[in-house]
Amino acid sequence: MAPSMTEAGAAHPLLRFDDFHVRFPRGPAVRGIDLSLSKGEALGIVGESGSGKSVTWLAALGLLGPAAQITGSVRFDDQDLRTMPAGRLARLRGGRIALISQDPMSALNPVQRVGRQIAEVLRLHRGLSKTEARRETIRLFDQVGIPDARNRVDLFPHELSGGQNQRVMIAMALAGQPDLLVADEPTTALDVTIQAQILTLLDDLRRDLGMALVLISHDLAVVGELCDRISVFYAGRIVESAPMGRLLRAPAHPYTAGLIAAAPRLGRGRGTLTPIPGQVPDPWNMPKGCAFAPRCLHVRADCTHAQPDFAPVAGHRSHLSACVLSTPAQTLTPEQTDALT
Amino acid sequence: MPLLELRSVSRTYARGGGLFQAPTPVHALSDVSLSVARGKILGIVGESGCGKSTTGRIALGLEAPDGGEVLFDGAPMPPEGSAAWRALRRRMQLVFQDPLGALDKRMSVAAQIAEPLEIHAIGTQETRAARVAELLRAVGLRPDQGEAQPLALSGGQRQRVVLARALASEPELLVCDEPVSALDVSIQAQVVNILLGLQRQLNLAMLFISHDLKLVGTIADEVAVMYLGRVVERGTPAQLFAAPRHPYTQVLVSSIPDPFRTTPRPRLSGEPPDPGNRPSGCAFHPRCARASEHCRRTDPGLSLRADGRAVACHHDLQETPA
Repeated sequence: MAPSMTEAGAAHPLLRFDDFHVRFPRGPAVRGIDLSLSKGEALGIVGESGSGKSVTWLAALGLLGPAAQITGSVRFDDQDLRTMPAGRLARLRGGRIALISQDPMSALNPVQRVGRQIAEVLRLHRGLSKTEARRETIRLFDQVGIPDARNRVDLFPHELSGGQNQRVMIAMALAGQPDLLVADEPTTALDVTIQAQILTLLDDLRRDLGMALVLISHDLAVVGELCDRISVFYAGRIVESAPMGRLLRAPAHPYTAGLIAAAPRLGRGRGTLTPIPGQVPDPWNMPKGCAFAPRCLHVRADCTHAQPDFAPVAGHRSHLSACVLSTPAQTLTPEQTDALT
Repeated sequence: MPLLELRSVSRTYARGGGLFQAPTPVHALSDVSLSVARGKILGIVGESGCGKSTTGRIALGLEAPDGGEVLFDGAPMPPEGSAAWRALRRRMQLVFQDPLGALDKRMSVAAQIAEPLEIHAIGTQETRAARVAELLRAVGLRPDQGEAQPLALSGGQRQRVVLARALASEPELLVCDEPVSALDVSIQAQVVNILLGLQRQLNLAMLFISHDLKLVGTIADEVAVMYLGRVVERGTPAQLFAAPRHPYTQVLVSSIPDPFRTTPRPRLSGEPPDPGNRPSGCAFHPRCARASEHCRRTDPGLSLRADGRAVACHHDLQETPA
């Protein structure tokens, strides 16, 4: 992606979070997110369980219950999603903003034919007639690569494979002609060859339709396949954000470097992995200062005093890191910077 | 001599059927031969329905094969439920993906780790308590954490408990079926390292079944790739991942997510395979770019190559005679 696009996009972002917080009765889940996304951009969100990577998007789309206390702002195309009337937000969801999740079987109605479920979106969001909706559903099935679309629209979810159902979910997302597709672990439940197919489909669709894509995953390699830029979440905050190649080859935050080192890699012969010691802090028991400090091998006294600023790494305006040590990215060992393959 | 050996093992299930309809036979495994020696790790990879979990269950004698035989320490597997079969239980153990499903939620973890010791009448009450503490330390937990119930522990800690329990009876063979798939990457690395450390220290033979090719490639001594109930290629991780020979292995390896890939993602044609409707000849032929008439008619069977690996492909055999 050309750097000029990021700058132009930053001036008029499609979506923008400012000091966004989500708090549950048991503790905070998202603790101050600043993030923006340009039109047509592919942004990767990486983090482990409890990092807030999914909650952020569910909260933005108004999909969390009343127990979630949300502060800060999230704006889509200059409209504040938080203060928007519920009816308007509902029309935006499934319309200009689409969401697909890990498990298509639980997102689809098991007792309704898949085609009818998509036709419903078309009639609701685009006001198509019954006949038009059926024709458009078949076209969408073709577009997402479901063979024999004319007959498959009349099947039930259990008659399709996991990969085919994920394609149905993508077709349903496309039915609303979205400007933004949020895909939360869309390939985690799928076999590796099917995963490759779904990633190819998402990549092709994004380029063809010019929509923005947010790909949320625990797997840096999956996100790296499709995304221009990656943001790494840890304990409810973004700890690092950079263009894909730079983040994977020269991570500045010790957590990102740790994630890369902990993931198994081929071509190194038999060996052990490099784990990150300890575990993610509980939301009700957040450490003072940097939340990663208790697990960090480079921890200093000042790390436990105050939350480090999320600031540019020396010489790289598009590479941000929330670590007091992050300025010299070259402090990492060659093994850590030797990115994933 | 291998500790565990599967010789031409086959297993068929019946699916569906009803009042007026005969059930369909599903060939979960056909003609699978594998072996693993003490101190070695055999990785089994493949996609859903390839028979990798059935292989694990048959290796443990939890299921009997319809054809072929299973040898443990040179002797045939005794019939399921017999006294000899029960005595063999303590020599082989299973660890699978879901620790919460494998543990009793209302029992302390120490009591659950002690259970195999009681079942197999190993030690006395006092020595058992000491052994449980030793096992907890071996998997990186504190002995006082034994008093906890499973829900009070994290996912990674629970999987360590399952591992401690599996090791309690001092098994010689460990079958791990997706043991770390449910864990986060940073925690997964912790559990894998504990598993590998103990495997070396105790000289265990291990069958490591996983869909995670990168993980298997990192830890296994030998890897078997399965497709529709058969082994299609077997070799060292270096052989399989750097230069796969079977067209299916080639697709699998190039499907592994790689942000810096230099070749496009593979497009595997055709539908995912159905074990109830196994294609004729080489089962991969409907999806294989190189399939010929010969492939449609005749199953290639697994044959050995000069470099020690085994491949089930007619084309590969012509190019590199055994």
